Amino acid sequence: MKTRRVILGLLLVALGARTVFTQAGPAVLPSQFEFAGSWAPIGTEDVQNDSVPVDYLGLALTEDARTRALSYDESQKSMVERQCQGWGAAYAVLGPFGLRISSRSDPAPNRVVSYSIDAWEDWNEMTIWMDDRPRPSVNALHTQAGFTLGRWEGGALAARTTHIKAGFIRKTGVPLSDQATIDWRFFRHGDVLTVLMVARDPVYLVEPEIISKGFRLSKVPLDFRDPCVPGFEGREPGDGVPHFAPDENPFLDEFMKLYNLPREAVLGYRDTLYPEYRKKIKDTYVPPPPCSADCGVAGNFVRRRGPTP
Amino acid sequence: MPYSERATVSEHFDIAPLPDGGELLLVTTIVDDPVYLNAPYVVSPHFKKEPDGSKWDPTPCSSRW
Repeated sequence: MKTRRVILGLLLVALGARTVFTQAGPAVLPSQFEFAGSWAPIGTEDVQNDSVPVDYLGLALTEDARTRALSYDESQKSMVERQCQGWGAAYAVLGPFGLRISSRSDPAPNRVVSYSIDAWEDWNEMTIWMDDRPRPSVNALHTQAGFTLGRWEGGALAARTTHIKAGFIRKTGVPLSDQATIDWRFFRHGDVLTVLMVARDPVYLVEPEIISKGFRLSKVPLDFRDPCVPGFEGREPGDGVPHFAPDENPFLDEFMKLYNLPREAVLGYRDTLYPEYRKKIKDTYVPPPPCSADCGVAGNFVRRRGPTP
Repeated sequence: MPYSERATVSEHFDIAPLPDGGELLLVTTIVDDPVYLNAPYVVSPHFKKEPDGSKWDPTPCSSRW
């Protein structure tokens, strides 16, 4: 009788523990961290590099990429059919928004099946699958967010995204093809989440584009905006797609002239990526004269471009 | 932009392998300053590892009129 009571007691304790554990979600192992939550953008880092139309500094582009980028006109985003086109997976770090992350669990083995980075106004939800499912066929559907598999590795969450639609690696029209692969690393240090993105593209990038950016844990859930709704912005449906002939882009030399920068640096040639390039041009580079009037925060940019019409 | 004597700086060093070989060093720096900052100042630059130290060639600082 006593033995039965002990067994019954142990069973009740086990069931109780099971219930509590399920309610609390999967345990976070020592080599992992709590990834879910609202992570606010930090304004002290600007990695967008989209202040001027032709600024490809820090990119190593193929000739095809350079040509396509120079043919891009940002007025394309005014077309009704393109206003809600949205941006690809890389926009997680290129965009201005925070990351609202949730997890989905399988209660039976009590483990996380996936994490989701919620959608933003012009960005689709991105799912990071944590269940080792096979990657789809190369011929499977490509989406803006792509297909992402993740795993815990050395205290970081590592993930790889494939199957993205052709899009952009810089908002000013620098393209990223549907053959691109994006590798992610998420590190957490207290209330700071550091995200590392490495984008490789056999079509448009000679070397990977690498971006690191921090986010801060928000005490309140991030307030995400309503879904994108297209409206009339001056271009009728069926109008032509705004573009430039690449060698006639009116902004081609704007950034070069502002800072007296060499053409190859502004247009994303591989050699300009590394510190050796500074040594190469240090004897020939002439900085622009200091701003003397109407400098504002943008200095020479405001002075030379003049007031907005 | 100033920082006060009450500021604290926390640095976190992470290593990340590059998909095609090589490594990146990611340095997340968090500056808290109750005197001059309302929120932490955070930057997270990355560095690509060189195969050796042959490019390390610092020169002493010099001043001139």
